[in-house]
Amino acid sequence: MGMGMGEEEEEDRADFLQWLGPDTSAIVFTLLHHPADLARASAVSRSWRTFVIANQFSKIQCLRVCPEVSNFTSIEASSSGSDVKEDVGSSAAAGWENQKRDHRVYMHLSHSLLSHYNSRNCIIRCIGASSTDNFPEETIENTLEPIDHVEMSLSYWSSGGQRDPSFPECLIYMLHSDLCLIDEIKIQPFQAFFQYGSPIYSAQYVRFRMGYPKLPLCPEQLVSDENEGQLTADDNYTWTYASPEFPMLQNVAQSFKLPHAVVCIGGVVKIELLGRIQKQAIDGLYYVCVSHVQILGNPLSQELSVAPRENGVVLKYHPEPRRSIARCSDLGGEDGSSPSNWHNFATRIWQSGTGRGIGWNQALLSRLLFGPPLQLLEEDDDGDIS
Amino acid sequence: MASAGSGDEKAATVTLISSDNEHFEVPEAVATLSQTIRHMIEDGCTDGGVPLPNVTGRILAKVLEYCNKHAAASDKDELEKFDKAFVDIDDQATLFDLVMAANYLDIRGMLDLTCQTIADMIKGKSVEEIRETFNIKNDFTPEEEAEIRRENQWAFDD
Repeated sequence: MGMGMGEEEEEDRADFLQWLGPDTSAIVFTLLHHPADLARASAVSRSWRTFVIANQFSKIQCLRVCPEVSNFTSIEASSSGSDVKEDVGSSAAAGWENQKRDHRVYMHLSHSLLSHYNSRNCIIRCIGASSTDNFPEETIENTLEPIDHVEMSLSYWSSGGQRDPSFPECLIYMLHSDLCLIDEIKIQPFQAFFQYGSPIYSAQYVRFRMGYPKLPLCPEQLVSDENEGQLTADDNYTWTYASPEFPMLQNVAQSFKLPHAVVCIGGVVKIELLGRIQKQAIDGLYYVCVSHVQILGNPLSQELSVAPRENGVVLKYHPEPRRSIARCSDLGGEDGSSPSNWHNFATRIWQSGTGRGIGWNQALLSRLLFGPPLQLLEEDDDGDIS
Repeated sequence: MASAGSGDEKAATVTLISSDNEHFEVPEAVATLSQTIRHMIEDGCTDGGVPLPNVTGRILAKVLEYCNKHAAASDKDELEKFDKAFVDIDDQATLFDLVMAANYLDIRGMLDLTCQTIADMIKGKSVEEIRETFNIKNDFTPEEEAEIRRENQWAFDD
């Protein structure tokens, strides 16, 4: 393999992308964990840029920090505020345009995911509770109020009473943006100082789910007495993340640190309260009561939003700041053209452009991510090229 | 290769033959750091030596240096020191050859080490510095380059 420098003298520097095969070059690029390094690498030369885009390294960077990103079935990007669906000549050219678009969006997402932030409470409003004993005195809305230690505030949510302590409850909240990075959830169970023995109405375990509503939620429906159980039922939501079960301490405000910072896709967080422990003396029923909830993290860039589609959820990118999708807005009737396998496009483009096949395989991909095998190359997850 | 003679305690060896016909007799315990060679030994096709047409003698010698050290399973700090010195190579061509040899011979640790070395040559560098490091010609038009930088302005503070 010649150096091809066009110089007579020994040149001890060379473009490794020309020397190493695509597989080993890919290993080098996936060892670049910082989005800035990848962004700069894609500006080095045409062949580097093509390689970065065709191999979706920006998507891999996102997946490495937030595996939930694999939930996106496709990407939609608009420029100048309108969705551009160009009618490009050949399908290969269209495929390449889509790959460039995907690269651009995942690059923006990885920058968003890995930027330093100051954690803050991301709850914007309550959606509802599975049950409420006295509505509205003990409404879920009270959990947004911080504890007033001086006055021993009686602002809390109470579930309905149950004979069976294993009967679960849940609290569902809406977050500031379609996409929020969540790293910690704080829950303070309620201690009834006005009752004999000051019982604490905690739960045994707590688990968190995050995702999006299947149908837009209208403000009028939220936190209402009539349709409580209905609104919080799982079939209204698609959950893109479920945490492990955390045991709850019984007597303090507790901070639950998630195993890794999770991107909440769709702005909905469900707090599942499992296993009641405290009976109320008066009626002999088990209750769960919560004083205060905080969901801590960072809302992501306003230029990113999500939209549910028939086959899953789509990541949208609008370079100008826009409101996150209004909860009641029309889902939009854009129908994508039939998805094609990016792998074939990438291979074809790569082979026609620079003459090398990529040779992706599941083992290599797992290896590149240094983790358990991902479903990156399965049918429903390939970045659809529509 | 089967050890010679009955009751002989000598460990099994395998002969590796480089592309330039250099022969290296290597203990199996060392050679099997290469998954490729390990499979060949298991399949029993190493009689008469294993030809490695993709690896020169010079590179193979370095590879075996790595395998010898790592097969001896010394202490972690010692291995780290060794690895650091191993990839302290001025000549990029040798480094790239080692990557390719590690890939071909399927030596996971060496592949990770050498690829990480190249990645470290990219990390934190500006675009110009990366081009300088690998002697890469900028083949973008000024407009193309400006557009690429504009897309991710946050990454280009130079």
